[in-house]
Amino acid sequence: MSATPLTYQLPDHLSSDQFIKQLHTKLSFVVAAQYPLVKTFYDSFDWRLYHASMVLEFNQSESVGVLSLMNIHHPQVLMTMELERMPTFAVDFPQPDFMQQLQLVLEMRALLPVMQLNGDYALVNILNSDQKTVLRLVIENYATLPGRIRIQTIKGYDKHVLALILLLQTEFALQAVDEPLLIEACHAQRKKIGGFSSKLKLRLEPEMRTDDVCRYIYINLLERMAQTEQGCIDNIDSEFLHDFRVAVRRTRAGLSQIKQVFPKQSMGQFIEFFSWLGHITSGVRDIDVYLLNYESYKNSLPEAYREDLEPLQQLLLSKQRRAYEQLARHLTGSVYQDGIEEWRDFLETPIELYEMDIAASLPIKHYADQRLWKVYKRLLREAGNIDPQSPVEALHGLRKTAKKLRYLMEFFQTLYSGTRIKLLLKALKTIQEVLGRIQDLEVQKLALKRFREELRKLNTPEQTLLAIDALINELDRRKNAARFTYTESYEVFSQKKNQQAFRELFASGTQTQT
Amino acid sequence: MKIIAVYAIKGGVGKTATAVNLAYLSAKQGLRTLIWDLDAQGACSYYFRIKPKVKGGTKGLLKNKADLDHLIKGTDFDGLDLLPADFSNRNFDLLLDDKKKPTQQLRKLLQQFEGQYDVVFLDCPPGITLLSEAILTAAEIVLSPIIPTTLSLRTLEQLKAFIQANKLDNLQFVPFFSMVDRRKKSHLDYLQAFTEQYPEFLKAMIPNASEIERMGIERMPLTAFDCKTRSAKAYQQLWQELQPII
Repeated sequence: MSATPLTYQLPDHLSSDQFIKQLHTKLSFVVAAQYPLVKTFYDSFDWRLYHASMVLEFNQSESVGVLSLMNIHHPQVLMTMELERMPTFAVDFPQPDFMQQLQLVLEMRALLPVMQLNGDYALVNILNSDQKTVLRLVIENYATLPGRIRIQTIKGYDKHVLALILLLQTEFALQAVDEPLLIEACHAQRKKIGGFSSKLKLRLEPEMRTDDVCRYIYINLLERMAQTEQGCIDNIDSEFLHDFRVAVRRTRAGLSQIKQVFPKQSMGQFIEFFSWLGHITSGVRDIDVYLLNYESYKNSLPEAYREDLEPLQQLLLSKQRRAYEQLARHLTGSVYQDGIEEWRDFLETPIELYEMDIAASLPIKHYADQRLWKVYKRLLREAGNIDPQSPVEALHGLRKTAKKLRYLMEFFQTLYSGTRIKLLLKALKTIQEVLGRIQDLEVQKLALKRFREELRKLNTPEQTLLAIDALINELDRRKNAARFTYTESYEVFSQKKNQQAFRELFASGTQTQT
Repeated sequence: MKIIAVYAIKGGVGKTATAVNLAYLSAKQGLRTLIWDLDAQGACSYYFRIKPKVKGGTKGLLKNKADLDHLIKGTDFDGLDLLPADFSNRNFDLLLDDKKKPTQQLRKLLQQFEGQYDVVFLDCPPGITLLSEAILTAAEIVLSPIIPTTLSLRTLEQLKAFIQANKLDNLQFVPFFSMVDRRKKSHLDYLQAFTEQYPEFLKAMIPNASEIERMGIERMPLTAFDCKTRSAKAYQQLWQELQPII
């Protein structure tokens, strides 16, 4: 039955009441339910359900709320449950099946309403001669879209479905609809489908001027900050701040690495502003990370210690609450608002050519080659001085250089052969992740020591302090293990094949400079 | 997947009414539920307005690697499916007897539903036959309605002895009182005596009430059309008591 069209559109001249009335002469049925309906589609800010081919639909009437998880391409209900209020996170769902399925896709992301339709709902049970329901029709009218009829099949009664389809197509001249309702509604309301993505999709041409490309990159990043800013203020979920910070970090990498383009005297204030933004958001993000890792922390301990860790979670939650309140004050305050406004003005206001720095008019490909090759060589130089015993600070320095190189490569990647630069990015990402893990575990270990001290002063039971000690030891063990994977990942990154690819991609246009 | 046989040696003790109502409550709770009407009389299928007919008959069911899925019918209730009865089920014993390892046949057939259903109810015909043995081999729980009378006590003992003799050690035997008439002194006396003698009896007691007979008119579970009656509440209590076991 999978290829059989099961959804039909009601033409403008046929209301659902009229349809039901006309159906009386053709079939035996009962109207099992009929009521005004508010239909709300939920997804995460980055539409994770949609990208996993799922739709979460909450149908509310005065007396009942029914939540259905459906496949977007077939009108097939995967799961359904009655619900009074929509939970925010997958973990808050009362039904284990729903919770598990949604958690797999949504992880830490909150569910948000992405589309709402008002209308009427009717459920019609089609009966056979024994008055047994052999299939159901869900008829929905919407205020802003054409109505739809959806056939709900009942196992073992396929032949009735085919007969009904014939009736709908010949007697009522109804047309089957392929387009999912959510997509149709988004098109009708000119809403972007697919939501937010933190991935940069810049389309660059080799001959573009460097200053134009810089503006394009910065404006793109500024838009991402604007899109995620309110989610940070409202503390919807941890990923808003994460994405906000990624845009800030990329901007900072641009400001520090793409030099000699804009007038030097104008850039100082922006470098300072974005550094401040990095600073005011970093503590909050750290607490988010501790809480996101909390279950993994807990599960890494022997079972007997796990519940003793609870006061740590409470401490982190209260710190998180305060940190977000402070962040909201910053993001709604004048320093941030004025800083962003000035940055936008700067990017949107043309600058006299004579005021620009020497690299402004260079073709971007030429400029990108130079910068990428230079930063790559610096990375190799720094990495040459590192071994598994090097101090954490040296590894952190290397991580920062790797990150700068990665951001630059991501900015300029459309200037280079698609697959080669992607492979190099992947290799770079691997080494960057190892370095990141070492640094994060060190920072987390130090933070845990601070939290332990705070809890000790609050007369927290000794068992909790012991559990935290065990956790600190565990993080130290993981950090040391990660250090040993560094050598291996660096060897992969710096293998001849990759060095050759870096040289061919970036050094060919910069022979005179190298 | 939990397989629950609603079974008694004696007929007319409320097996089908119990299976139908518990299966409905199971589906209502969100468990994917199947009820298999094994009785040639087809009362269970009748209650769900489903024709007691299976393509290929009982013989087809028992064929090697028979696919039972295409024989299943959805009931009018979400999450509740039925494998209908067939008049040829009256020959179940004979057909089983023709097979190698006849008592293992139902267990093997039911394996195909693993992952598809959470609970399977077997609505069994009365008697103590080869089919009964196959049912008790396939099931993990045997839920047995007992009327508080001398004859019922006798069948209860017979059933326990049968389970023991066939070494069905993993089978959980769960009796409960059915068709209880509290106006009858004999029922009250037996209730007291049985409860003392058999502590394994569940506390829920299904009354002998006319509302249960209305299921034949409404053709649906009592718990679906009138959940406030004494009998419906008794089925709900019975279902609640079964939760820890399931």
